Amino acid sequence: MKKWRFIITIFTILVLILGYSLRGQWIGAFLILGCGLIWLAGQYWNWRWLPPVALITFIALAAVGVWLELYIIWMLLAVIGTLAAWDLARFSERLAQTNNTADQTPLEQLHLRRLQITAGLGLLLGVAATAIQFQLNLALAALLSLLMVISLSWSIRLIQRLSEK
Amino acid sequence: MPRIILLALIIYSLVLAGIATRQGGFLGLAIPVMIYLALSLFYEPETPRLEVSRALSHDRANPGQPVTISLTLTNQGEQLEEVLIEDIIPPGLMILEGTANLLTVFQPGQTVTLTYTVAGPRGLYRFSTVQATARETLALFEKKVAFDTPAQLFVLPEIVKVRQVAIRPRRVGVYNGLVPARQGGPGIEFFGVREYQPGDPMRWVNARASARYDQTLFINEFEQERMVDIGLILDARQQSDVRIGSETLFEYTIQAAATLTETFLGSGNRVGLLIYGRSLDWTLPGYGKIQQERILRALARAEQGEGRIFENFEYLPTRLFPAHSQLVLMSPLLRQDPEMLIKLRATGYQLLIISPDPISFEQQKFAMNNNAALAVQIARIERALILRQLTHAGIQVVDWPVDLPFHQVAHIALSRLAIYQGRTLF
Repeated sequence: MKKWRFIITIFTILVLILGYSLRGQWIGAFLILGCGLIWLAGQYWNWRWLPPVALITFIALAAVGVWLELYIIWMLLAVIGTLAAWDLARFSERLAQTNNTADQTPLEQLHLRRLQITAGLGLLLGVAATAIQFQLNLALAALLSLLMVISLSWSIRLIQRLSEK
Repeated sequence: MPRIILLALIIYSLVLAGIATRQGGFLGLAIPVMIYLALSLFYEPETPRLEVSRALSHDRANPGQPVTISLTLTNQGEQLEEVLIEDIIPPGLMILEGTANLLTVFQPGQTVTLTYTVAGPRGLYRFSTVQATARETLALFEKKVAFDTPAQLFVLPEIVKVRQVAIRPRRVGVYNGLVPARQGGPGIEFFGVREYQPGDPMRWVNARASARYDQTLFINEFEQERMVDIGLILDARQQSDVRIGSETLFEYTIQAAATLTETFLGSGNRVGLLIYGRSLDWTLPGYGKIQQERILRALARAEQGEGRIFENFEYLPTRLFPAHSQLVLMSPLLRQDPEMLIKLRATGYQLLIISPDPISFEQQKFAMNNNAALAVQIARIERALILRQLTHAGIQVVDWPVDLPFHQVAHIALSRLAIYQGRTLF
């Protein structure tokens, strides 16, 4: 599991650096390199506070890339990679905390399969969402945005209520 | 749910950034996070339905003896993608081998066994629940259930072998035992000489005494040996204890009580136990191995406590013990105790006090300097006065310096010879 986490982290860092450097954003690329090195060091020394911080940082860097109008596909891949690395960090932590697994292989296989589905679907729908473009007037856009925010809030509240049961 | 909140915040931020900048790319970035959340919700786990049973290799053990605990769990519900099974171990027990938790995929109908080995100091350890936490594999949602699997483990106090404890209560029982009864009859120790009566065995005839009188025979009488009623009183008052780190003087008191229980019951006596601390814990008197087990279990669960009523021995329920019977008090003794104990002696009880010495216990744990040496000297004088007061009242006292093993002290101070010589104070 550690090996997969490491590979995905390297992939995420490289993809994001590539995305920035393809449009000549060298300062951004170096910043990502620095953050990436800290992330890798944290994995090596098992800093437990790092995975959520890395998740926020790298998604924020991808969002900045979108704002700078870099190639969206690299940013999307970086988000998926960051999410996967964060998830694997949590999974490793759970395995390490119990230190006793009946058989680790089925657990790992099931987890990796679910993560692959998540990444595949995320990539597919993300690409589709960025490829499809249509014009909306301001009122309709505002209405849709409002609807989205309300539905998201509702979903989160529902999720929280379900998980508290 | 901080993980869900973290993901929700990321989604909100990206959506708001998309709306603010009117760039669809931000919404595209939010989609994988949404998918992650949605899939977790879709595969949300069911409440685990498990059949759990617990087995202990022993339900009684000696201090430090390994006990293996096996939990058998069968899944009677749906598949659980990731389930964490945690056994709640009573505080005080230490895991020697294995772990008390297990993370696994649990198929319907599957059975898993969790085995681990524990050991601990004297005490009663109650196992109550096994906790199962089911999560979908991305672990954003979880369902926790606790299953009741009660079991208890008695770690009995350590017993050292003491061959004999000489006691001489005024009242003895009707059955044969090992305690001299102050009555002539069949026995071992010489008791006196009396005139021959028909039916007396000829081998008891005292030839020398008979030769002095014409036509009169005299026979030897021996002291009968009977069982006696013994009431053990364990001082569990918090204020009488000395605690240094994890070691307490109370454990020595318990050890003395356990050892004497074994010795007295082994000699055929009837023994009861009163634990005098926060409350009164009374084990009814009885004989034999079962009684020994009862008393040892009571000693295993004995804890010190503070109760204002039981601050001194004023409320010692003497009616629990037969009149004139033998009482054995295990106590480090406090300054106010002699007064009540002397009163108890005056009512006719034969009283033996085993007193673990708090001064020697404390002294061996501290570095000595001039001030400490002076303090020890004063404390010793004070203790000697208390013990002398008790001895003068006819109470048999054994002052036990706890750096010496109990059996050694008991051999010196509680042997029959020691009692006859009046050597009761160690």
